[in-house]
Amino acid sequence: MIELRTSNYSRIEEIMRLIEDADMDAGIGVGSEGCVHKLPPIEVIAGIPDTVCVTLVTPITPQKHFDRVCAYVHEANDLGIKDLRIVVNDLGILYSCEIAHPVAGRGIVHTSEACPWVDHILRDESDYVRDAYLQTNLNYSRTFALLKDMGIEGIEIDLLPRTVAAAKRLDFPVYAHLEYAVVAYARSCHTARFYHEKPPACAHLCNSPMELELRDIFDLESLSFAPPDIEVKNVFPVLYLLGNTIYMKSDYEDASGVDGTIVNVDMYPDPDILFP
Amino acid sequence: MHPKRMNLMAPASSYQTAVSVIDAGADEIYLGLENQNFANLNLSGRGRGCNVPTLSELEKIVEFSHKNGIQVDYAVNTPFLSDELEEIFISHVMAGVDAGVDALIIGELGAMHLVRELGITLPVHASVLLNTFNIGQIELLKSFGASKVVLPFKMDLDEIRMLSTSGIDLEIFGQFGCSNINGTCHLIHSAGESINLGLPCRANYSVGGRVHPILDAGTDCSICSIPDLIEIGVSALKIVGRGMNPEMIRSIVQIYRGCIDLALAGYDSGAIRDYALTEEPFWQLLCEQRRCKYLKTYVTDSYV
Repeated sequence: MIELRTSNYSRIEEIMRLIEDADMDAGIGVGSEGCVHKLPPIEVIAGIPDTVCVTLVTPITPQKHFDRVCAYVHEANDLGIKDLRIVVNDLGILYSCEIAHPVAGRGIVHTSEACPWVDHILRDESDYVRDAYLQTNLNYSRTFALLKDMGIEGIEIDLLPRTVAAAKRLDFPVYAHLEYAVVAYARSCHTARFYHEKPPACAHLCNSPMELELRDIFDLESLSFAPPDIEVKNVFPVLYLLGNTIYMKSDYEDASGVDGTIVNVDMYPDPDILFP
Repeated sequence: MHPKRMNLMAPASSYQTAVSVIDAGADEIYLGLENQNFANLNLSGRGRGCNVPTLSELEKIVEFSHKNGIQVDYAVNTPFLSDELEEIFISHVMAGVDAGVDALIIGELGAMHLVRELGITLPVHASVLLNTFNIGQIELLKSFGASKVVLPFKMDLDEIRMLSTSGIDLEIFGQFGCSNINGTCHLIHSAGESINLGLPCRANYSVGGRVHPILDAGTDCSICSIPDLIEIGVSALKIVGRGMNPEMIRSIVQIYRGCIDLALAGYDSGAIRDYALTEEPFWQLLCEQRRCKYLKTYVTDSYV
């Protein structure tokens, strides 16, 4: 199954039309992994037709929003939506809130492969160490057991080749994000600062991504800017910024063996690109 | 009950730097140890070159520190562990324990569980790499036996105050700061690269028709907030810089030592700032940049 996910709730009708027109086995996801201000109003979740599966994504949650997000999660649980899947990206929320079928999101499930230059970082390591690192953090059986004890019933990962291979070894439901892998989340929102706005008033500014192309490195020897050399240019990809989350693009497409795929519709302002 | 004192915690990567920061006024030091199983990586949350080179040097540092009443925190805060690396991790942890370190800094949930199962009774500090933003996660970490939590770089004073009632020691960052959430950031640098990536979060990017340092890491400072942090009951203020210029770290530790002592003597933030500017004129540049970690600035205004 494919899930079309958004945190721009003006697009829900458009997404529903896409699902109907393409006659897809698809669900809809709402919410944000990184920003509490992009949680959908409860009525948005309640208003999604029961003909599609619904996923609610809850974010990394700073203390000042903690009680509100806990209350929100309980309220969402109480909606009684059949098979509502709640993706949790914050261990504090997972530990503190009663969630019916939690899935650990990318705020909790990490992979070294999300480093754009991971092969450079690992270049001199032994095969043993390299293989050990090219897994998810849940491939460590102790961590996996702890999270299972906390109730998780699935995980979300980036669709990156070695990450997928490692996640499949868990013998656990795995949902993979297509095309855009998370490189970092930030609390100090890069988009808000760029536009001189303050959350939550800035929420409308991150409905589509910005491209970040490396122009000058910040050299740690001279503590000044310098042009990147060719080796750096070769490993440093274009980054994509959506709100407070930085992504890189991956052209890996083989999702065989995973239980579902996720498309972040907000990365595609033109829906025709998604389903031409 | 929180102590109304706040330790100054400084990085060390050799005997020489340990002596230097202790002499400059650190109350605690933290360090990692190189590990021969890796070419460039390490289990200390930092790469090669940022760690104490040998076990014998670590032992020497511990001995010197303890003679001077200084606690040594051992950074084994790899954010990533796997079944294949577990034996190496255990040996690495035990090397520090046997050398006499006073606490372990741990950055991975399974590792925290493992350390307890090994019967290690040293205090366990939850690393910044665990991204502990809220009381829910603090309760989780307490259930795993953590005695101290290192809070993320981007927290505001009200939040620290709220978390200070949680019955666990809090450690926060004083100088410098990553712009992204540490435990989620894969813009890895200072990990033994042979190419010059610089500091990716401080680079200039072409974005929206402009050239802009949009990821915004910088030299954050917290000296004006020291009286508030002491009043809240923060147990330690940490200076980052295991891989940085030792002279610069020494000078920063000296300034923070003076500022903390003034705050403990009852001086207000204005007097503390004046002291820093007089002692180290380059601090004026920091003030002009308005990168005050725990005050209202354009950076803290952008917190989600």
